Amino acid sequence: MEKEFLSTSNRWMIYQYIQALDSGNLDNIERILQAAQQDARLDRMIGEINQEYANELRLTPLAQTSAKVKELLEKHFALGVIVVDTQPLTVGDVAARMTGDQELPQSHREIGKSLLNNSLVLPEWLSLQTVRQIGAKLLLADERFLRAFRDTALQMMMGRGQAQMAATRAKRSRRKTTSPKAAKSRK
Amino acid sequence: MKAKDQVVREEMAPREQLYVAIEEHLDHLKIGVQVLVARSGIAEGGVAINDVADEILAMALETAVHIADQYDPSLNAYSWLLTIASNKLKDYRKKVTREYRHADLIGNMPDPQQQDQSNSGHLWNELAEDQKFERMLSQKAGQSRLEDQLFGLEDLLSLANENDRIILQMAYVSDMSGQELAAVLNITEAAALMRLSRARSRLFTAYCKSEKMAREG
Repeated sequence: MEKEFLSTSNRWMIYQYIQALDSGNLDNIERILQAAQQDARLDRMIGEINQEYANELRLTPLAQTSAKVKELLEKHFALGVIVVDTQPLTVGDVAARMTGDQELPQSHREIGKSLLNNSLVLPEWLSLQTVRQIGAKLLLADERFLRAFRDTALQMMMGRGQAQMAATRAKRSRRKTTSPKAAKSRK
Repeated sequence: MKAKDQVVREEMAPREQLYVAIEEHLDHLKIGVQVLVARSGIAEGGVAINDVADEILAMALETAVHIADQYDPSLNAYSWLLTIASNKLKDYRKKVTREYRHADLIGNMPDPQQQDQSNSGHLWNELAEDQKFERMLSQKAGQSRLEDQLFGLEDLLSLANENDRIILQMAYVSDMSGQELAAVLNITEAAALMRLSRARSRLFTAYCKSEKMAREG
């Protein structure tokens, strides 16, 4: 059997967490939760221990909470919890990201700096060929830079796509809860 | 190479990342808050526990959303959110205690602030003692494995009841991990660690008692 990777300090933390729960000591619970914020294994074990306590205490799921919590999230969501950047991605946006990326070579970051104010909009489909054409327009021939530019641009596009999806999901969920049909079914 | 999910998350602002984290952990968070409420002694019975848990969860999420811009995505969101909930629960407990006192329902209840401070002082002593006990237990187990002299550990384990002794021997003599204990006992790892922790705790209490009796002659 594979030996688990629970360190001695983590095991001790878990004992303390269980003892704190058994004695209802919120100070100690909080102290251990703070440590778990930076320790994924401890974080996961605490989740499992809580689940085990819920089974032991025969707690019933919080059915009515969802409506209240949903309302709260929707309220803040509507205030802009997710701000989706709908502006098209420009050469300058990508250059700004590259300038701050310490993993890129200094020469790439320097080229990035020279492109910061470039407002040329990037096409949605960014093939290497397209990037080369943009490079030719901007008098950039460094193939490695162009590849790094494309990678950065694709990462940024993916991030925007994910945020957009999350916002759409929330919109749909709001529509569902506020639609006459949903209201009727709640009645 | 970074995972796609990680790359996508890094592209999002802390506020957006927090929202995604809340969505991801909400079900577990509900359970965690329920357990904290149930164990804090504030409410008894399923309905009362759920009512308070509901309120605490809403307060915790409200706070989380308000400080969302300061959210550090490198932290584990579940524990981060549960820490906020635990804080809210502490405030709630103080408030409830104060209200009881004002209503004169409890005559000589100590000031919660003072009680917390004294509890925390007591707690630190207790933790230090407990840590010493853990070291002693591991040391005795180590000696018994190395020198085949079980006397010290056996002496200590004789203070525990039969069931506790079995799990303590598995953990400290056979040096079984949580996962191995879970496999032998046919329970989850969390349940195994809970059993072990409680057995350890009872042994610690019995040990303190026997030490006290020895000192008093």
